[in-house]
Amino acid sequence: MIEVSNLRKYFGSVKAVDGVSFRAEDGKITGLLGPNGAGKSTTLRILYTAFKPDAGTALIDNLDVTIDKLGVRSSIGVLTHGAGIYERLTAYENIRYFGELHGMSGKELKMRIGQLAELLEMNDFIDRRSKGFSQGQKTKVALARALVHNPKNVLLDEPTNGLDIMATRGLREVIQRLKDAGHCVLFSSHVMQEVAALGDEIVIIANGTVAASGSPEQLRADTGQTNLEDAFVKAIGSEEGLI
Amino acid sequence: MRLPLSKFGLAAWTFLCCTFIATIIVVLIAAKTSQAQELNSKSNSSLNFKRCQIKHKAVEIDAECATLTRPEDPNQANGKTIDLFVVKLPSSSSTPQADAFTVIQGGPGGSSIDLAIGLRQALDFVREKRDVLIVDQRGTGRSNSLQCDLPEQDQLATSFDREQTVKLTQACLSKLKDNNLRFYTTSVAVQDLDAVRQAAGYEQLTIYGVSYGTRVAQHYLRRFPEYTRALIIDGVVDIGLNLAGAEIARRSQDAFDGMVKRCTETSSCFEQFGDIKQKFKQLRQRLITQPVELSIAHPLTGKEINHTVSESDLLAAVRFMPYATESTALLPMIIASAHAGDYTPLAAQGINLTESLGNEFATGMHNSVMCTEDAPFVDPRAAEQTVETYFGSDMLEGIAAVCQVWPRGAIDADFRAAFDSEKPILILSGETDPVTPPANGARAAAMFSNSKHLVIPSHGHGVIGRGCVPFLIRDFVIDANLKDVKSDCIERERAMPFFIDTTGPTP
Amino acid sequence: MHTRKISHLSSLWTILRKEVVDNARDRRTLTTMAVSIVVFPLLMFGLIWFLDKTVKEETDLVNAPALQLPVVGAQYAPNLVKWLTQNNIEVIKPPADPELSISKGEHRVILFIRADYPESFRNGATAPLRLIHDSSITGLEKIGFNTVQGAIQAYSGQIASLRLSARGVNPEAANPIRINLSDVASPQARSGQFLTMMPYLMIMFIMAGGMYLAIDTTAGEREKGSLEPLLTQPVKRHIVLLAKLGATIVFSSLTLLMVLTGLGLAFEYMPVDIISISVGIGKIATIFIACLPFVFAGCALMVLVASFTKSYKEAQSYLGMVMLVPTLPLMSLAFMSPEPSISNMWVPALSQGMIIIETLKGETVALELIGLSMICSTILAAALAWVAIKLYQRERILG
Repeated sequence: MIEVSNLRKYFGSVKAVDGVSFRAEDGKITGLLGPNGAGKSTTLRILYTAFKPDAGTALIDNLDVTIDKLGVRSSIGVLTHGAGIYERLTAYENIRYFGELHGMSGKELKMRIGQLAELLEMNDFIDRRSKGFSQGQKTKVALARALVHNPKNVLLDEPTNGLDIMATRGLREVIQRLKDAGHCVLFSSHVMQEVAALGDEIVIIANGTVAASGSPEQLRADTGQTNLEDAFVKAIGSEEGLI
Repeated sequence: MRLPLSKFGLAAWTFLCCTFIATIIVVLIAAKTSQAQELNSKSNSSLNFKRCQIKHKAVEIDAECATLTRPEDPNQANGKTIDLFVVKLPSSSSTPQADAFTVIQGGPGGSSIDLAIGLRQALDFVREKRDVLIVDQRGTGRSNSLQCDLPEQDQLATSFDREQTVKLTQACLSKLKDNNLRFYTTSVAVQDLDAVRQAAGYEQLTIYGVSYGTRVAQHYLRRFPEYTRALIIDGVVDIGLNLAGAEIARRSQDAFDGMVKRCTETSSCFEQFGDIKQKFKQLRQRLITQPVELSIAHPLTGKEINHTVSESDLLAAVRFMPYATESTALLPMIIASAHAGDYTPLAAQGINLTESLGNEFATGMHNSVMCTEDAPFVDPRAAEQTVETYFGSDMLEGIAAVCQVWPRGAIDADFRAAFDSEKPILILSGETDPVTPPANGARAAAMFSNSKHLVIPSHGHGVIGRGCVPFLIRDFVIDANLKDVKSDCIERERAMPFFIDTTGPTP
Repeated sequence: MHTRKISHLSSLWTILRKEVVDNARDRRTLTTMAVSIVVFPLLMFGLIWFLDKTVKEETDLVNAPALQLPVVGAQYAPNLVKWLTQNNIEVIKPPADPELSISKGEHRVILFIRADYPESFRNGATAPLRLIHDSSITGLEKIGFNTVQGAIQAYSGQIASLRLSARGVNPEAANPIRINLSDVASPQARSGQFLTMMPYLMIMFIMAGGMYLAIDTTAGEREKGSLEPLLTQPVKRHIVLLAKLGATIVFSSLTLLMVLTGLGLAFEYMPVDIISISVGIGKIATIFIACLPFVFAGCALMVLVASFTKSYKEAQSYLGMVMLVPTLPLMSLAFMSPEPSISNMWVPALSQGMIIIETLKGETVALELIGLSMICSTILAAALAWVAIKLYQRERILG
């Protein structure tokens, strides 16, 4: 479970995050929706301890991200923006590396990678060097890497970026299964349809603040729009940056 | 498990541990290698070589010196001992060959170490692969030198006065009375040389000998074939050649005739000096009847001295100047100007020769060799063979007179017998050598089946430093293979052109 | 879904191992190392061997082809020409315009004999000879020039001595002083020029060996987008940095080891007489261990600089310059050949350079001084690593 309250992060005069608060429950998919530069990635970076917030608190499973960094990192799995896998290592080695960093080893790790390969349908390229992988394959490796230690909370930054339709579909299925398995899934996206299709809860972020939040139904109701798209536009006050 | 280390602490500890371990390893290795090196340098030599400088005239070089104590009488191990002075010129290679190169000076009576100092270039080539090991032969140089301190006038021994010779020899004998002069012979010297080789820890020797040194080299080969790698003999005294007989008088005459012939054939020389042989005869006669009192500047000090130019000066010049092509170039001019009444150049030559020869050779050791190895075997008719020579029988009779009073040692039984060896032998002769001409080298070449005889054109006695010869020696010594000696280059050698006046040759 | 306890050391080991495997598969890193084992000895020996061989061959009186020397006015000095011929110099017809042909490089040197040479020579005066050459041409091309000069000097010297002898003066009187050189260097130590190059190249290779890893640690990982995922793992950042520094050190020191091995093999099997140095296991080990702290410092420096940079390319160009930094103290080796002492052995790079030289010379450096060098370099390494850690902990590291 992720609880964010009144989070702030300024870079000089740029207020990247300016008082963001939301909650992402276990067993639910929470989508952070907003145009590019709205503060989604910064918020996630604070959550996965890469950035230190200027103010506000962020708790993951009741662990403060600024205090127990290692504890937080152990309880989250992160798919960062851009897959960033090691090209000279095989898919298997990439996943195993992160598993080992989480203290896994031996049979346990091997079995877990086997499960993930099954789940993410990676068996036909699991032992190949990653150089020349398609974006979909890279994302799968990166996702498997993020999930290798079976984290309670899963943070995905623009996960469908660069994926084709089939890969996107596959990814959605995986996210659904994570939800079904009781994980707390938090993902960011600037693609409205995606958030609408996946998100149990939607947090709309614009200009570093939460413009609106709630279930899709609630959002429609709150904004008085029947169409979700119109609800977004209304919430953020402009059409800029949305697809 | 978390180690109780701060961020910085871990870094520091990692590095410090590494450094600590590394330091210990360095200490161990350094200790071990220095130990190994010490063992290495001590293992194969029982001589205590120390860094030193060896000097001959103005030339001084770095070397390693040691002494080896040997009994004077080889059959009396506990009797009187003499110290042999041994010099090592270490190889510039880090992994020198197991054998050494050595040089042996002529005379008899010259210092081999002095010779080595003069042969630096040739030896530097050899030292690229192997050490050079030199010992001053017993009775010479730094090894109990048997000097007689003759009055300078008599050093040249070119004219003969029996009474005077016997008197001087007896004076020398009494000066050297503490030495048993019978044991300063070639036969004993080769035993010394092998003892030095063994003590210095070398498997074999490659020996360069010049003049009388070739006799030592050949005798060492005969005695110690298994410890001989190769020989280079330069200005050969072939086995059996008698140095106390007519030999020197005849060879000197040949050289003089050769010089005269060359001058006659060289237009500039002949035009300037005419019949030089005739002038020599007239001049000699004049000096015999009337030596010339002269007041000249000493050649070295420049101080005004009185000098009597005698036949002895002339004969010394004629005998010794053909040893090298450079001094040969002056000979016609010196004879001609003395003939014309200017005795200064001749007097200066006489003074220079007297002063240099006096210090170079140990007369006592010379006598021991000559009176043991040569004089007893002189052909009774030798004197007849000197009739046609400018020396005549003076020198022959002089040696005989010396040896009448000088103790005679023993020679090895086979000392004068011909022998062969499969060892490679490079034989060098100077075309115009006035003592050991190419004919000697040819006889040695006929005796040794694995040999090669090179005659260096236009050069005199001892040719190791001439033209490409140091390079040929380098090539030969590397693998001791005569096939490596590519001798075409010696054909480039030319005589120094005759000086037609005190300024020089024609341009 | 439980939190595992992970020790720093096992994380360090995991990252280090991964970096080693990853980079061992990198052709650039491997090429650098392979180059070091082959190119280093080639550089060291090839050049010197070639120079020595050429000089020796050209001055070898047995095998060298005769030097072609055009002589203008050869008819004025037949005996001089004979002397030159005797010295393996073949006198040939001069070109129409000697100066032009020298400046065009057709000949190295031309001898010009004036018509008044015979007169001066015969008068006993000093006769001038003109040697035309091009001083802007250096190196091996000068061999012929020196040979001709040497031969003429020798002739002049002989004539001088004989002139004095002919006038009743001992030539020694005209040589008042002779300087004999006495050399305290061991034969091994005489390859001076060669030895001063050695630390320079070794330190370059140490730096080059670790360069790609150092870049990869920060700029490289960032550019690939793998830095952020890595930093979300439950590992402290300084452990990540130290592990990567460790991997850099592994490659850097392996390169050093290869260089030393290559050197040892080269000394063993290359026929180079001029350099009488033997490099045994002992010397290799001594140099290797004494240089390790420098490896630490060099790698820490590179990692530190790499963490400033924004991209791989930028890092590459910065590190190219940083590689030169440790070679600066080495300059003094070439110019001053200092002896190891307390006053200089604390300087990183310089002290290792001196240890390399002295060890190869076969001389021993006092253990306290080696210790001083190692400790000072280690302290520097630790300081650099500390700064690198501080930089690595900034948020800006993510770009």
